[in-house]
Amino acid sequence: MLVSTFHLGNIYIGVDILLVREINRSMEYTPIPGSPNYIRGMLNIRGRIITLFDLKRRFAWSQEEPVRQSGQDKELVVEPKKQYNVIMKTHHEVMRISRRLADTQCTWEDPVGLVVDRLGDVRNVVDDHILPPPANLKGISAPFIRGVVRIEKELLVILNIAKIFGSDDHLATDVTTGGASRVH
Amino acid sequence: MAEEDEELLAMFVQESTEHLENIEPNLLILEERGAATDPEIINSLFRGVHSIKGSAGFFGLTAISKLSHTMENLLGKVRDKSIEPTTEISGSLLSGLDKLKTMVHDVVNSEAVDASAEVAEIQAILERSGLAVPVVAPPKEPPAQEKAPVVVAAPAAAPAAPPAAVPAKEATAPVAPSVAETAAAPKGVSDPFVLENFPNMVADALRDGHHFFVVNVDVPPGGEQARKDFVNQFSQLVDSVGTVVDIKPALSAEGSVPTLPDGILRFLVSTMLTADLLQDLVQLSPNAIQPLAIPAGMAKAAPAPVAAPVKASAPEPAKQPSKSTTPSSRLLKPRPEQDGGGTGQRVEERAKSSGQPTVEETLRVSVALLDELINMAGELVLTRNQLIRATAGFVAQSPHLASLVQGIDSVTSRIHGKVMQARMQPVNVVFNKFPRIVRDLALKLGKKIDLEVRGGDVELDKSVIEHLSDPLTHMIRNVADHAIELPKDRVACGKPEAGRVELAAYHENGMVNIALIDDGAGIDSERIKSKAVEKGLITEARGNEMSEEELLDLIFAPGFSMAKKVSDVSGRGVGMDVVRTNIEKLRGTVHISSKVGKGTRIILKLPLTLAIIPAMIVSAGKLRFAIPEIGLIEIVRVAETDLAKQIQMVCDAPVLSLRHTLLPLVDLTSTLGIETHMTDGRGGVHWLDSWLQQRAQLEEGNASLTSSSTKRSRRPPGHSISYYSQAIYVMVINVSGNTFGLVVDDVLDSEEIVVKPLPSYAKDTTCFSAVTILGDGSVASIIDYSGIVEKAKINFSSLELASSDLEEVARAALREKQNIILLETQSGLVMGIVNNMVSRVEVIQRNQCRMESINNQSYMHYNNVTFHTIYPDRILGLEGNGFPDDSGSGEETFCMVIPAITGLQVGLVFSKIVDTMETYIDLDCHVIQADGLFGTARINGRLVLFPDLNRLFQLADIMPATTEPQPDYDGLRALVVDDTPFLRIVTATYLSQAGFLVEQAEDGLGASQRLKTSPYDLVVTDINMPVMDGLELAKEIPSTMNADTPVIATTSFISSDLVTRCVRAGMVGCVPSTDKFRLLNMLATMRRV
Repeated sequence: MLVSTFHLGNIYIGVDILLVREINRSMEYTPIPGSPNYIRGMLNIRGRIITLFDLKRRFAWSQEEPVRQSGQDKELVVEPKKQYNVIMKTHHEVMRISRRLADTQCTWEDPVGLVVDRLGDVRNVVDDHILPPPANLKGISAPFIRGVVRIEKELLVILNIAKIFGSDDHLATDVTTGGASRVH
Repeated sequence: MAEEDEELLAMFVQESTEHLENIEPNLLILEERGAATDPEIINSLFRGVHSIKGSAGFFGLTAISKLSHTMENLLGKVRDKSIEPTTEISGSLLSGLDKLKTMVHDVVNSEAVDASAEVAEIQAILERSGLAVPVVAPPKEPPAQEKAPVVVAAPAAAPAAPPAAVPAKEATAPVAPSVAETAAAPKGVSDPFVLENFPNMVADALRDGHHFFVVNVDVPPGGEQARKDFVNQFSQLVDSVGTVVDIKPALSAEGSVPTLPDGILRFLVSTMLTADLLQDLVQLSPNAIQPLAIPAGMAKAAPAPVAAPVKASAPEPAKQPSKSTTPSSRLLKPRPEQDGGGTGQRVEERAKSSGQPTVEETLRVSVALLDELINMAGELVLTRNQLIRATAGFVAQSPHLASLVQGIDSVTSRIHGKVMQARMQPVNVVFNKFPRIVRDLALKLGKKIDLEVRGGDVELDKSVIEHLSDPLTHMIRNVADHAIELPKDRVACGKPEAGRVELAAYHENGMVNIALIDDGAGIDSERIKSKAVEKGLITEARGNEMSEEELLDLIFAPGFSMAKKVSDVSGRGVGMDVVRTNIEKLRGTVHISSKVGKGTRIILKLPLTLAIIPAMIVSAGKLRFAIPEIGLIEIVRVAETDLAKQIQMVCDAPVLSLRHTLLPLVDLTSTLGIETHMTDGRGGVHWLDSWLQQRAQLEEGNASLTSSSTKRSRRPPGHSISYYSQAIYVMVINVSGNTFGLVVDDVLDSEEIVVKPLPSYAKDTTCFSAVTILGDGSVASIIDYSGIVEKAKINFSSLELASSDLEEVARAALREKQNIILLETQSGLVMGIVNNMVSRVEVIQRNQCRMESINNQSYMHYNNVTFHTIYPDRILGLEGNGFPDDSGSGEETFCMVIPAITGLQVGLVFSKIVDTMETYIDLDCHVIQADGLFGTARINGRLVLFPDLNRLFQLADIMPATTEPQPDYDGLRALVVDDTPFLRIVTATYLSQAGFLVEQAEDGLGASQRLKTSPYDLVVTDINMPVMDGLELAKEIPSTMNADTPVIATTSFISSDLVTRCVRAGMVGCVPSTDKFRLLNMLATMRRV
């Protein structure tokens, strides 16, 4: 399995490359008042409206208040720190590659994206090497993790993004650690 | 070859479907108008059926061909007026049409369809009329025509190989030109037409592939007028397929026909038809039509004739079929370039307004392709915008670049616009089929139903339209089956015999509403309840708890059917739940409201996914939002310096005074909960503080009336409306009849925006209906008005909603002035009381009276009388500043209002009298809603509250001792007639408190109209009114269906003379307006009698 890897804070994370549609430099986005705090906002990429997820908030990390640029007339917020948007494929798009993958890993219908701090390499991971998350792993609650892999000296956390883009209700009712759980 | 056949067959199906779609509405018109139907409509019917027949014959589809031929025959008789178009005829044609539809729809199996019943029915009509002598069109159809069906119907013509049929169809076409060569100067005609005289016509004809024919027409004998009519008629007929170029002998200038020695008028006709088709159309013998060849010289001079291939097609059998269908399809094509002349009488207005679909050239494009195009067009717009920005610097130096950029700009905009339109379809696509459905149902059920369709041009996304058809059909069937009563039942309850059903589409709040309104029996919520309990959908206890609305909602529960017996129209208990499911799939909602005996109103609210709507782009809390212009009434800019003057706080709610009304304000930023961390948090001054400070300064000199406000500014702010100390914009918005002001920071732009569905992750936020992409590529949310209203917790009173005309009227200028007294309460509010509600006002020195409080009620002893005292502001719950001590150190005096209610020793305590005046009261019921308050009005720039004294006393638990046990008026219907909105509201409030269902009318005329159409149990009317006064109204009532309804008059000046006149006019009596007790007492007396 090829995995796209990223850095988020000091954690090394990865997602199945088949689920990734494209990666952009972070750009202007529009917040959605009243939405959950881990929804950063909406983004227009070539006519598609992407809902951006703030992974740090999703993992309920201590509020890292982004530094705002002041004295700027733009209504839209520009993150001063260079970040990257990882735009995911939709269920429909993954369906064309693999029905099984779409049903288990990519259950969202809307175009969504993740915000990460830095980009890493594409890694080839052998499925057998993926281990269940260690119980003492800090920072990411177990349902969000599909497994961990030791790569060189680092520990790569492979995300269960079906859970990340699922709603909290589902989390409560369907707490499994494996990757193969449908959200909808 | 086989593939080609299939393609051709598909073309035939599409073409025929188009014809059939056109035929149906025209048949309905024919049915409705009978002999008065515009001949053009009959012609178009004829042509439609004819071309189906022709094409079907070509494909060897004998069944279709036979049926359409029979129909054509009948239509032919109707057209030449040898048969009067009765409903029997249109009925048989309609059933024939249905059969045709079935056959065309499944064309492969059409031969197996049994249409003999339809054919026989039509044949029977034809045979019966066979005796009738034809009136016009002397040379009847050649016998060959009559024989045609026999030939075609013969079983030998097996589902034939198409090429076999070709010659039959095409045989005459090649003949025509050959005849043309020789017939340029028809024999026996001394005065031939010379084409050289009409060079323009010839050029046109060459371009369009038209032919010229000389048509010799026998003009029937008769007077001047008859001849003229005949010629007109004939010209119109020809106009539908071509042009009359010339007539010989020439007509006079006024169009009158000269006398004809041989009774023959010769027409030079230019048409796209071939000779045989033209002959078919005009119904003359073949030798009456002679082709006229275009002289060789002229043909060469003209540009390469397009007409040629049509003629030349004969030797190419492979291609031929496609060509041969062309002429027949052209038959139906509207000819806009020549319609200009006689449109007035030719196309009936009705046909236009009912959205008769004109046949348009269409091309099937896959939706996926369209969506891709739409996305790319969007990108193109963004790129264009960037291009403009990037080149802005160079444009000045290079004028050439400027024009290029401009060109790209405008083309891009147009591409974008057109591409967007491509997915939209008018709801007529769905609506058009309902007149027919309703007609059929009405006939079947023995009812009379008038269907009115409005707003058919409202456009919805294709996908929405597609899914709308089934639920709407079901709803319409339901209405026809259950809602509309049988004619005799309708008459019995005083309704017109024909039920009225209205189907309307309109925009509201960025949604498309589709309303289905009937004036039928209405839905009895009690029956729903018992039925639902019976079916086990709800428990009885639950049923008793449910509001009427909730009960009506049960109709949409799965497995619920209200029909008393199952009919084949509806009533199988599948239906309304499917309607709801379908509509909800489209992310729409269904609302139902109903009044027993009056009718039902079902409203579908549909999102216009992908629709383009005009919107204002505004900013609030540094974010941009789109506000749909639908529902947006106006935008008011309140300058920084005017904030204090124009915005007031009432019960913690900001209101804007706008042209004598008070507009509740909703701050977008705070309602959406936009926090400062979401924005750059610049300059966040608490706007309440800022304007309250200004206000305090403003009022320093003039402190008395509004002292409360300065007090209020000391209070901690109740809720945070964070704002900037700068001008604000108030978007005045109307949402379902109620108006409020949405406060935004700035209005940036007005744009046509493309509505995109809200990301599912944002669906919990009810404040947005959708999102859009703005010109610069950023995303903006589209504000949903009702969501905002909900979130901001504005409650528009239900009384107001019930009578939507009230609001409008309350704002209208009053025609009667009221004498009022303005008083200030101890908490600083100003209240107004109408003088005739007041017995007297006493100014009392504090040291001359003694206050006591017993059991939470306060009493005052003064002048040897004990008064029960009440503080209106406390009872209304509108206090807020704390009260000065009752035993009061403050003012030396206070004043007490003793109301004009007999049997009450009550005093209302105010701190002082502000003013007395005679003025118009422009009552507003929205701004402050408190039990015991009629409403508010602005008088001389002050906000004045008008309390309902009677209600106040009830709230204070001091109802008059004399009150008799109140009779139960629940559910009775009362009509209140008063031209003065204030008094009307007062009386209506009294009656609705007593349990009446109150309706209101502005004057006698409006009232008498209502009285004619619906039953009432009581009429309370003002005497002095414009247009028709109360006495006249009373005299009118016996002639309405409400002859026995008691009428009570209200008046401001009661006199014995007036009472006599009232009684003489048939009224029960007369009471002073605003006197609740006398009114109720009179009602109670009547009840006892």
